[in-house]
This record gives sequence, structure tokens and C-alpha cells, in this order.
Amino acid sequence: MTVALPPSVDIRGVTRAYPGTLALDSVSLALRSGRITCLLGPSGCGKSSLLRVVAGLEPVDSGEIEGGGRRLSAPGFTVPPEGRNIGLVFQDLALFPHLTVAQNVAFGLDRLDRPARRARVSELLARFKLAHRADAWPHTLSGGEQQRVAIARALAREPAALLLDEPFSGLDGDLKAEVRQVVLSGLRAARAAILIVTHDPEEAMLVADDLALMSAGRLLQSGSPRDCYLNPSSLAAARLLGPANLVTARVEAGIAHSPFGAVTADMPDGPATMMIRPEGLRLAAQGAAVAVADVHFGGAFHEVTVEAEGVTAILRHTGPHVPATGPAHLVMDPDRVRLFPH
Amino acid sequence: MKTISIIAACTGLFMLAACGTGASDGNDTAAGAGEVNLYTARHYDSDQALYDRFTAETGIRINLIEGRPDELIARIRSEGERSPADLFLAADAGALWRAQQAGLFQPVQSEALNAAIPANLREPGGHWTGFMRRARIVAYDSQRVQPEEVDSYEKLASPRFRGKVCVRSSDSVYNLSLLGALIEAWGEERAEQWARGIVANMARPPEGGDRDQIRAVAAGVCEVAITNSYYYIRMANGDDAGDREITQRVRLAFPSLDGQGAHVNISGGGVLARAPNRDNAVRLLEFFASADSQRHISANNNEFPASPGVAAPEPVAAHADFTAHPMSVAAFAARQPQAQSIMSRVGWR
Amino acid sequence: MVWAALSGETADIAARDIARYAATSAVLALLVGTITAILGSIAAWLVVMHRFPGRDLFAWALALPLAAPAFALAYAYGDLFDVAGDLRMWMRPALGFDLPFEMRTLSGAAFVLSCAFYPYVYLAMRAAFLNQSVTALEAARTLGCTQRRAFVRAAMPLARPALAAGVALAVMETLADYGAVQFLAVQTLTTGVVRAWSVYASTASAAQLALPLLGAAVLLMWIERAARRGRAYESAGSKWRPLPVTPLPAAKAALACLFCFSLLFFGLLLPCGWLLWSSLAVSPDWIRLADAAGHSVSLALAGAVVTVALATALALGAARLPLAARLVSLGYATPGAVMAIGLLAPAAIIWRMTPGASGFAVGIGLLVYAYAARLMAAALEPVDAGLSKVTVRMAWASRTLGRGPAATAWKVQLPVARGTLLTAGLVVFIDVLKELPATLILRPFNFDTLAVIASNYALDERLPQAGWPSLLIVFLALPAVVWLSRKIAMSRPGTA
Repeated sequence: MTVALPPSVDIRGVTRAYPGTLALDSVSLALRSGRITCLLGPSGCGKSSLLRVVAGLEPVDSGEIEGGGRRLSAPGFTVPPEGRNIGLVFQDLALFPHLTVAQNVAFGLDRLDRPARRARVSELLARFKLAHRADAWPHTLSGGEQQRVAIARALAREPAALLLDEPFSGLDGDLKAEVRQVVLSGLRAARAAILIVTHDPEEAMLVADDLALMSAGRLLQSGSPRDCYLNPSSLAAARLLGPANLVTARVEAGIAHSPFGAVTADMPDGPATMMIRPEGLRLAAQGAAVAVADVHFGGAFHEVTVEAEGVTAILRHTGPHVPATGPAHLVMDPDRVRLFPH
Repeated sequence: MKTISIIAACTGLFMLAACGTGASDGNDTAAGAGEVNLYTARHYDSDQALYDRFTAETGIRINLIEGRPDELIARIRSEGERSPADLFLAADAGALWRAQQAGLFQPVQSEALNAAIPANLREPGGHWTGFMRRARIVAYDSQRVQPEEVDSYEKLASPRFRGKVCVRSSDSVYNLSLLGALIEAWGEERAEQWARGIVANMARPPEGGDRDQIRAVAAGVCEVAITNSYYYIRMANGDDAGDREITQRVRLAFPSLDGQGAHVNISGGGVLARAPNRDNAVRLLEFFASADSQRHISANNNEFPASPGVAAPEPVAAHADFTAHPMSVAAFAARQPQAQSIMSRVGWR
Repeated sequence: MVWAALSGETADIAARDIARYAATSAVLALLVGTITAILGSIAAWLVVMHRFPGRDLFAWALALPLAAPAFALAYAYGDLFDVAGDLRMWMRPALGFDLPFEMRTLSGAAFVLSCAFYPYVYLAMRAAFLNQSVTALEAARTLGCTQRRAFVRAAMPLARPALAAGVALAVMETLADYGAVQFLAVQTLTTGVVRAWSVYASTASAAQLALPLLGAAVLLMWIERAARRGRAYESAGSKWRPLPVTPLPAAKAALACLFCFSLLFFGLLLPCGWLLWSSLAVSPDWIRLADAAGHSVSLALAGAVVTVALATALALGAARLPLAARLVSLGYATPGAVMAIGLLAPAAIIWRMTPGASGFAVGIGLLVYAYAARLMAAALEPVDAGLSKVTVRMAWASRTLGRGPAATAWKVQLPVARGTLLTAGLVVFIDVLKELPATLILRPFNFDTLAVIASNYALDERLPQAGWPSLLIVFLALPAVVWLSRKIAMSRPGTA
């Protein structure tokens, strides 16, 4: 990795414990300006704690956080949130109900004079396609609009970093895609370092420049979404990023054998766990002999349960015809398969 | 936000306005030749005219706090050495005695007071003095009771009036003073017998004020009521036509204690031990005791003048021809706690 | 106070008397609690869930008796139904019978205080019914309950926290009452306190008598707070639909209308009308009254602002000092006479320290402090509720937008809660207008309020004269009560 600029926010070995739980266990992560980092993990894994620690709402127990060349957090030392220039967008958005859209956006701009403030607000409203709602009250806005107001408000102060907690979780379907697009272009224009927390792997991979996987307070892996998806560092990391079939394989002389096919293996002989992504299995005219046990219509695909030698796996079949139950063949794409030693 | 600022602004204005009216009091209460600080448990509108006249005659300004007697005593005690209180007035000898017990008064030797007020209406040490008199006497139903049936306090407790007496509760300081006087005259045992007789004679559990007792006589609830004189005189000459009509039938009798006269309480006052304006306080007390003031108060509030030489004006004059018991007011005032205990024992609520 | 109670020396008050006072206090509190609970709940249920002529008017008008001080009601009823009063004097010969009741009795006092305090229960229950979830009611109906059964089996249990809170307020006011009970010749523990204190000049036994009252106050505060805690989950349901309002058939509508009208009639119209009628005979000293009204209003405003400011500071810091918040609320249930005695101790320190004791500024400062101490509980509840509308995350958002904690409180928490801050201010405003004991004992020279004037006239048995200042208090408090009452109607989520 080539480092062009020092990171906007550098999190080094941060630990945060609550009574009975270790919310953050020596987490290190660098946020770079102009890049979107997605933090992916199941709920309760410590993602939100990391956001609060970075925003300065909570202290660190060990490790430190640096930002803009300054030390922001260290044990016994916490620059308060208002002194950090780090923005935070809450999951429930926390819009101020007593202020209009424009006033919400202008809230953090008290140091600008009036014309400058007005200019900055209308620039942001335009960027997030909110200009027509400038004088509306928050509770009259749609979910997507509220979302954009919250982000515009947080970006108004040109923070060095912006943290977003599950920003798209409240939206559904088409709206989600549409909002995401507007928001992402707005975020990229801001050139701040962006950290988005989410539990939705698809969303994380679509949005992220850099992906960080977290579980039980520990950072499992970080890298590009593609890298993380194709080369998960552990079973836990693999499962975080989407459905996976786990099959017991035997390694013999550099080849791992499973009922669904074989791949080359760079590990000693013995049992291993083979992780096969659903899209790594494809029904074909020939290949490994399996039995189709069950077929469910899933919209754009059919979810097919196959069985071989008493082991089942799931695959997604796309194509015009409905697979029939009974004997079938499938091929396995080695790029979508990972081996983990026992 | 706007509403809050409006409230804040209003409060500010009101406080300013209030300070505007009050500031002059605040500035010169501490000391100063031109004023006197009066703590009074008398609150009659007519007293205001008197204060105005005092200020007009002497140029001394009167700062006033009205309150219930024991709250004023407690307040003066709490204010301690810095208390601005100069003169304390009360409409019952008991309160004055309690203030003296608390060490609040200083003795005053005043020729004017000694000359105007009979000795038995003054505290012997000069700590406080009365300037008006109120008799605790009987209002009776003239159609059912003969005047000679109520010519002594003893008769009120006799079986003749079983279930026929109306009287206030023992919360009334005037009842405490009356019983205190009986204790002083008869001793505790006989006074308790009397109180027991009154409780047995009650037409109903004690309720209401003196005026209510008089009206209860008119309503036929009872035949006699123990009351202060001025309530009756006020009803007989007041604005309320119903009250005036009542006094046609209900008459006033002055029962006698051991044949020496009716029990008389006082309105009076004392100069406080730490009075910052002592001389002005003495002057004001002497002013209250002056013949003019006694006539003014009597005319408006229907109390009897304390000075034998001051003739009561109408309408009080019509009732002023009675014999008052010569007992020292200080003597029965000191017996109030004893009286309260007796009343508790005999079940006088 | 507690210290005074434990320091030996006691007055000679018979134990029998003390027991009688305590029993009277308990029975009075029980009666007022029960009557206000029944009247307030029924009125709220009728008004919220039914349609009948005058319902929209009654909805807010039923709170109006809050504007009338209890002592004014006592003056009016005591006078109107006096055995020798005009009414009865006329009735006996003209109608040939007498009314079978007496105002100056325990039951009379319970009647008068219930008339004065039922609005506390009514307001609490109305808010609870307005905010109830329709689903619980509908579930009850589908399970075979009639509308009335649904009220008894679903709505009432759900509103129990509000009922407890409202009744606790009414009972606290009953125990704290000073003027009304005294005027009606009902001897409660307060009587004992005053007697011990004044006749025997024994602060110690006064304090001893005050202790059970303080104990009752602590208990009531606890009930009220526990009830409030229950309210949190009550509003958890997120689906809000208009409440099903049942139109009443003619006969029942007339009954409902009559019921509501009698509450308003006995709580406000009759006593105030009678006071007005008897006051017309005398022409008051208008200048003095106007002066006193000015004092009353400025004290009430200052008291409201200071109390709400303190309550807000307390509520903001309550997370750190939960005990403090509860302690300061005690003043609300403390009987007026006890409060007056208790206030003298801190006042004494201030008086002794400042030159020109009882000076104007000191006096006003003490009074405002006394109001804050006495009425903190009344202000703390709405302020608490208002501030809880500001989520923790809203405050955090403000912090990450560059505002410090103080700026956050000023720019976010207070403005969001401003509606309820105003409510709290109005509650204090109304209560200060009616306040008697603290004002009586702490006020500076030449400074009378309407309540003080009314009380002085009543002590002197000049009721027609006492009527004018009492009516002026009602007149000044009415707009505030109307505003308060109407605000509750808008409290149902989704009707904003």
C-alpha cells in the first residue's frame, strides 16, 4: 500500500472496556481523507463504541487516537467532541426538532459571519438536493431527506473525518439505492475521511473504498472489499461478508477434495474446512454428481439445495428454467473457494 | 425561545417596577431619624389612617409588616441582632407576654403612657402596654334568656345552659385569655371545673369565629355565645342588613367575674430590645395611646378606649357603660399555656 | 427541623389530642384522595372518550378550579352554608327544612378541598387517556368487554400511574393546606403544629408534630415518583390512531353534561359567584388591591422563572444527583405552617448576615427562594418530561458540531423543552399567586400580596372584604390555567 498522505484519523491499539465486556480490543485503523472506509460487523461487535470513542464521546482505556497531527485520545486524556473537528451522524439522525432544515445545517457554523454561513448552507443543501426544503421542519421530511439533512449538517463544518452510524439502515428498496447515490456523491465531494458503520455486507462492499471487518471487539481484517471477499483471513471474516457453504475436505498431496469438487491446497495432508461461496457452485451438464434436494424461487435466482455424500450446500441458480429435483451435476469455481486448516 | 425571552423580560420589568416602589424602603430601613419599623398583628384598614396621621404630624415614616402574632415573634427572633423591628403590636395580651418571655422587649418608662393608661393594662415592668380594650363577654337570645341569667361567667357553666352555649375553639387566643383570667381569679382546679361545664353546655363542637357564634344564637342553634365585644358592635352597626337584624334579637351582656367586672383583654404593643429607632417607637406607642387615636380606633374598630378619661364615640358608647375587672393583663396573659392544657384535658377542641 | 424535634423540651399537648389531630389529617387525606380520584377519573373519561353537548368546553374548563385558592373556596362555602347565613336563615322559614349538612366539619372540609383539588386528578387522567394506546381498548372490546367494562378493565389499570400521581398531588395539597382547614375549624396536625408553636412557644414540639407530616410527605413523593416511572413504558406503543369517541344518546349525554357542569359549578362558579355577590356590598380600596396584585404577579413571575431555572439545572444534573432531586421535592407536600417554621432557620442566617435585615432585596430574595423550595416538585415533573424529549444523541450531535456542554444545553436542550418549561412556569405561577404561609412570614416591609390581604380580612372575620382579593387571584390565575389545560389537549402524539 502506497501512503500518499498521512491518515486524517489514526486509531492505534485502542481498547475500551465496560464492566463485564471488552467493547474494543486493541483496534487499529487509519481513516484517509477522500476515502470511504466501511466498518462491517454484527450488531454488538463494538462498531458503535469505536464511533463514540473516535468522536470523543467516550474515553479510551488504552491506545491512542490521532487526528490532524494532534493527539485526540489517550488513556486519561480526551479532547472533547466539540474540539475534534470530527463529524458524527447518528443512526436515529438526532435532528434538532426545534430548528428548520437550514437552521439544522447551520447549527455548527456559528463561527462564520451571516453571509458566509448562508452561502455555506445553500451550497450544502444544493449538493444534497435539499434546496427546496430549506425552511421545512424535520418531522415533515421523508426518511431519505432527513438522512441527507443529518449528513449535510455534519459536513457543514468541513470536518477532517465524518463518522456515519448505519446511515442507510432505516431506508428500504429503491429509496435506499437512490439515497445512497446522492449521499455518496455528496460525501466524496467533501474530501473528508469517511467512516461508515454497517452490518449489511452488500452495502459495505458497494460503498467502501476500504473495508474493515470487526467481530467481538476485534478488527479481523481490513483491505479492499474485493480482497476481503475473496481472501478472507478467517472463517469469521468470510462469514461476515456473505453466505458461505462450509464443507469438510481432505487434503492429499496438495489437493483438497470435497464432494463438490477439488482445488489445489497449499497445506499439509489432513482434514480442512472448505468455504465455498454460493456463486462458486454452478449446475452444469457435467461435473460432480449431486442430487438437487430442494428448489426455492428467490426472484432473480433460484436457491438450490444440493446434496452429495451426505453433505449439503446451497447455490444460486440463474437462468430461464427451473432446476428439477433429482440427480444433477455441478462445477465449482476455484476462485470462490477458500481452505482453512482445522 | 421567543417565549422564554419574553418571560425573562417581563420578570425583569416587574422586578424593576417592584424595586422602584420598594427601593426607598430598602435604602433607609437600617437607621435614620425619619422612620419606625412596625411589626403588627393588628390588621384593620382603619389603622392605616392612623399611620398616615402619625407621619403627617411627626414626619416619621412607618414601615409596616402585618402578620399573625406568633409568626411575627418568630421572625423577630430569627432576625436576631440585626432585626429592624422597632415596635410590635398585638391584639391579645398573651402574644405580648410571649414576646416578653422571648426577651424581645425593652422596658419603657413614659410619662405619657403612665398618665394615659391604667396600671392594670400595662405590664408592670413597662415592657408592653395596652391602648385599647376588648371585653370577652356574652351575646344572648333576648327571647329565651333573661339578662340576670348571664350576669356572671360562672352561670355560663351551669346546667341552665346545657346544650345551649356557642363558643369558638381553643385555637382562639381570646378564649385562652378568658380562661387564664379565671385561673388567676379562682385557681386552676375551679377554672378546670368551669371549662368542663362549658364543654358540657356546648350546643355544637366549636366552629367558626366570634361573629359566627353570634349568628348561631340568632339562628337558634344556641341561646348564649361567648364573644368579643367589638364583633357584636360591628354587626349591630355594619353594612349587612341581616347582621343588623340579628342584633335586634341577640343582645350583649357583660358577665362579671367575682362581682368585680367583665374580663377585658387589650390591644397593645411593646418596644423591641434592639429597636434601631427606639425613640420613634416610643413616640408611636404614645401616639396610639393618645386620646385622639383611641377615639379613632374605637370609632372604626369598635374596641373600647383604654384610658378612663377618653369617652368612647358612637356606636361604641352605647355599650361602653360596664365595669371592667381590675385584674392585671400581665397576670392572665401568663396563664395562657395553663389554659390551653386545661382545655385539652376537658376536651374543649 | 428534625434536629429541633429531637432536642428535648416538649409542650404539654395531650397525647390524645395529637392522636385526634393525626386521625383527622389521615381521614381528611383519605376522603379527599378518594373523592378526587373518582370525580377526576370519571370526568376525564367522559370528556376524552365520549361526545356530548358542551364536551369541548368542559374539556378545558374542568381544570379551571385550579385558579381558585382553597382558602377562597373555604371562605365562600363556610359563609354560604353557615347555619346562621342568609341562605339557611331564609330556607328554614320559607321552605320549612334545613340543609342536612355542615360546612365547618370534617366532611365539609373534605368537600371543599375535593372541589379545589380534583383538577389535579382530572388533568393527569385526561393526559393519560389522551395518550393511551387504542389497541389495548380494542383488544378489550374484541374480548367481549362493553365500552364501560373496557374502561374498568383496560383503561383504568393502564392509567393507574397517572391516577397515583394525580391523587398524590391532591393529597399533598391537602396536607399542605393552611388557610382552608383552619377557616373550616377542622383541627388537623397543622393545627397542632401551630398551637404548640404559638401558645406554648415550643419549636421542639411543633417540630415533633411536623415529623409525621414530613413522613407522609416522603411517602407521597415516593408514590408519585414510582408512578411516574411506570409511565415510561406506557407510551412505548408507536402506533397512534384517533381515539374512538362514542356519541352519547340524549339521556346519557344530559347526565354527562350535568356531571361535568356540577364539577365546574361547585369548584368555581358557585363559590366565586357567592364571593362576588357578597363582595359587591363593600367597595374595596382599589389602590391597595392593585398594588397587592402587582406584588402578587411580580412575585409569581419571579418565582416561576427562578423555580423553573433551578428545576432545569436540577433535571440536567439529575443523573449525577438523583437524591438531591428527590429531596428538594419534599417542600411540595410540607404543610404550610411547618414550611413557615422551617423557612425561618435559613432565613435567620441570611437576616443575620446582611446589613439592613428585612431590607427589600433580601426579603424578595428569601421569598423567591421559599417558593422555589416549596414548589420545586411541581416544576420538576414537567421540566423532567420536557428534557427527556431531547435524546442523548441530540446532545451528542450538538457536541460533535462544535458546541460545548453549556452551549448544548442552551441551544438544544432548553429550546426543545421550551413548551414544557413554560408549563412548569405556569404551574409555579398559579401556585405562587395562591401561596400564603411563606409570603406571610418572609415578606419585606410594606409589601402585601392578594393572598395576604385576603387572609388578614378573613382572620378579622370580614369576609365580604376578603372576597375581592380572592377573586382577583382567580382572575389573574385563570388565563394561565386555561392555557395549561388547552395544551394537554394537544399532547396526543400525531395530533400536533
